[in-house]
Amino acid sequence: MQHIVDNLPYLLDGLFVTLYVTALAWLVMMATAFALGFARYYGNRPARWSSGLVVGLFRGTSTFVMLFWAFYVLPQFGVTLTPIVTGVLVLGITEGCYLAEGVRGSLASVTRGQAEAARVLGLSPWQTMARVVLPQALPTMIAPIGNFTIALLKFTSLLSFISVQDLTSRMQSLRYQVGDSIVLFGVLLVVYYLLSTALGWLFRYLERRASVRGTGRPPEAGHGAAAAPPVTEPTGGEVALR
Amino acid sequence: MTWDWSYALDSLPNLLRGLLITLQITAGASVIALSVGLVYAALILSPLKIISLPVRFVVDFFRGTPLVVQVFFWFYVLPEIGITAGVFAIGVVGLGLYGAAYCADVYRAGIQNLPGSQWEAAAVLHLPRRFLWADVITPQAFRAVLPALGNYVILMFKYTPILTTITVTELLAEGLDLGSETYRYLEPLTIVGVLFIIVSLPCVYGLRKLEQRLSRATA
Amino acid sequence: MRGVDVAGAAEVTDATESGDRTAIRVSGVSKSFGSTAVLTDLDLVVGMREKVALIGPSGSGKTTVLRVLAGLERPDGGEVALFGSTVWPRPPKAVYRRVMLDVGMVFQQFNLFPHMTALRNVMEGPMRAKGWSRGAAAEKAREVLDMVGMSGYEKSWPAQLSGGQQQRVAIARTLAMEPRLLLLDEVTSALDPELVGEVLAVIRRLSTDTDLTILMVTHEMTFAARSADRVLMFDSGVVVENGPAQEVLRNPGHERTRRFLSAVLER
Repeated sequence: MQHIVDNLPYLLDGLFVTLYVTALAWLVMMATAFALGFARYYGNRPARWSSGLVVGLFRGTSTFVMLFWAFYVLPQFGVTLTPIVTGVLVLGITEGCYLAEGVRGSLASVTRGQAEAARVLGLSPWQTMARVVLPQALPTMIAPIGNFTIALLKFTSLLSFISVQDLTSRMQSLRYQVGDSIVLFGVLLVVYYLLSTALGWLFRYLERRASVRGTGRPPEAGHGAAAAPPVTEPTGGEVALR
Repeated sequence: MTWDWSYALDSLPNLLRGLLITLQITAGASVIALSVGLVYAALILSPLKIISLPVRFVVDFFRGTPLVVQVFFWFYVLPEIGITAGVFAIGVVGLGLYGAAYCADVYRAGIQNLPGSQWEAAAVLHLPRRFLWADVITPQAFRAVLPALGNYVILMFKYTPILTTITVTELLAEGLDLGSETYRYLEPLTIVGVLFIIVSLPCVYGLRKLEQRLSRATA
Repeated sequence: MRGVDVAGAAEVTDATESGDRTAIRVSGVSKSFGSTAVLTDLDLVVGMREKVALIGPSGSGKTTVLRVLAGLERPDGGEVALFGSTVWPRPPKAVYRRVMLDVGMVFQQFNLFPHMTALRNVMEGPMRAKGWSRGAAAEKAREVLDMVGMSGYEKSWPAQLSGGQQQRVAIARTLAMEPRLLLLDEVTSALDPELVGEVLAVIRRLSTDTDLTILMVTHEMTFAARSADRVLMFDSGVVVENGPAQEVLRNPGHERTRRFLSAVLER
C-alpha cells in the first residue's frame, strides 16, 4: 500500500489518461452509433448495405486484433497516428458499431403511427424527428449507451499494450519496480470497479429521470423473487395506475 | 506497401495452429462460463439475502473490471500465493470466470422475465415445485436465454486475443510473432483479423436463425 | 376406469361431505393492494352445483374473488371455506392441497404452456399433480379435448391455434384435473368477437351437462342470463345486488346495477 501512496501523482496521471481516453472514445462511439444507426434504419439500400458492412467488419473481428492491426499495419501504409488517437478511434468505432444496433432498435421502438401522426399534423420531416421521434427514442437508448460506456472504460486498459500510459500501464510499470502484485492489481481492480459502478449509477439516474417525464418505458415490472408465484395486479385498471 | 501472397501463405500454418488454440480456449472458457453462471444465477435468486447479496457483489465486480486486469491478477498473484498453473489454464479459467458473470445475468433475467401468468397457470394445476421447475420454468427460460448465451460464447471467442498479454500462444500471439520476426505485420495481422471474421460471422448468423426459430415456436 | 365424467366424480365425493351443501363460503374477506381496497368485508355463499355469474365494472373486485378462491391471492382478513373445509386461514399443507385439487381456474389470457403441445398441456396436471401414468393422463386428455371440440389438435402448438381454440384447450386442461369447482375469469374477454361463440358454447354445455359448481366473471350479459342460476353484481369491492340471473338482469333493483347494465348493453 505504501508504494501506492508514494507514487500517487504518477498513478493519478495514469487515471487521468484513462478517463480522458474514455471520454474521447465515447464521443467517437456516439458519433459512429448514431451515424450507423440512422443509416441502418432510415437509409436507402446502398446506405444500409455499406453501414451493415462496416458493422459486420468491426463486430466480426476482435477489438484487440483491430487495435494491433491499426497500431502496426497502418504506419506501414504511411498513416501515422499517435497511440492515443489509434486507440480512441478503434475503441470508439468498434463499440459504436455495437451500439448502432441499440440506436436502430430505439428508433424502431417508436411506432410508425407516431411519425405518421406528426406528418399529418403538418410537421416537416426534420420537426418530426426532433419533436416526436427522438424525444421518445432517446430515453430507451440510455441503458445501452450506459452499458457500452462501461465497456469502453474497461477496454481502455488494452491501450497500455500500444504504449498508452493509462492507469493499467502505470500500475504495471510500478509492479515491475516493486513487486507486490496482490495489492497493486487488487487496488487497480477496485478502482475500475468503482468507476464502472459510478457510471452505472449515473446512467440509471438519467434513465429514471427520462422515464419519469413520461416518454420512456415505465420502470421495469420485475417479478421479484422467483420462488413465490409473482402477484400480478388483479384488474389492470385503476390499481395498476396507482 | 503491397500484399505479399507467398509470405501470407507461409504464415498460414502458424496462424491456423494459433486459431486451434483460440478455439480450445473458447470451448474451455465457455464450459466454465455457462456452468458457473448458472450456479451464480441460482444463488442470486435465493430468497436468503445472506446468500444472494455476496454473490451479486462478486458478479458485479467481475463485470465492472477489465478482463485484462483480471487475467493479470491471476497470472501474477497465483504464483505469489503458491499456486502454479500453466498460462493456458489461467487463460481458460480467467476468461471463463469473466464470462460467467455475464451469463449469470442472462440466466437470471431468463427466469425472472417469464410472465407471472406461467407461474399462476402451474399453481392452479397444483404442480409440485419440482415439476414447476422441470416442466414449466426451466425449458422456457432455457429457450429464452439460448441466443444470449450464444452471443457471450462468441464474445469470449473474440476476447481470447487478450490472453496474448499473459503469453498464451493463441492466434493473435502467433500473428505478432510472425510480424516481429519479419517486420511485416500487414499479412499476418490481416489474416488474423479475417480468421476471426470467418469464424464469428457464420456463428452470429446461425444464432440469429436459431433465435428466429425459437421465437416462432413459442410466440 | 379413469375417465369418470365430471358429473359422476362430483356425486361420489359429494356423498362423503356429510350433507354440507355449500361449495363456497366466504365470510368477512377483505383485500387491498397498497392503499386501494379491492374487497371490503365480503360475504358469499355458493351452493353445490350452482352456476354463479359475477358482473360489475372493472376494478370492482370480482376477479380478485376468483383469485382468492384459487389461492392466488392471500386475503388480508376473513375466512374462506371450500366444500366445508377451511382454506383461509391456511390449514396444514396436506389438507390445503387435498381441498384445492378440487378447484380449477381458467384465465382471461389462456396461459397455456407455450412450449408444450395441446395434448401435453392437458396431460401435465393429471401426470404431475395427481401422479397418473402417462397412458392414463393421455387418455383423459383426449377425452376432455374431445369434450371441448378440440379433437384432432392434440399435436398443435399453442402458437398455431386461434385464441378461441387456445382457450378451449385451457378449459380442457382444467377439466382434466376433474375439479368440482370451476373458476372462469373473463374467459372470452381476450378473444376476437367472432371467436367468442365457440368458447361460450363449451361453457354453456358444461353448465347444463355437468354437476360442476361454476363461478364466472363475465361481461357477456346475455350469456350470463342464460347459463347462470344467479348473478352477483360487484361495485367497489362489495356485492350490491344478488339474485336469480333473469331477475337481476331484466329488472335490476339497485341503481348502480341499472347504470352498469345500460352502459354494457348499449355498447
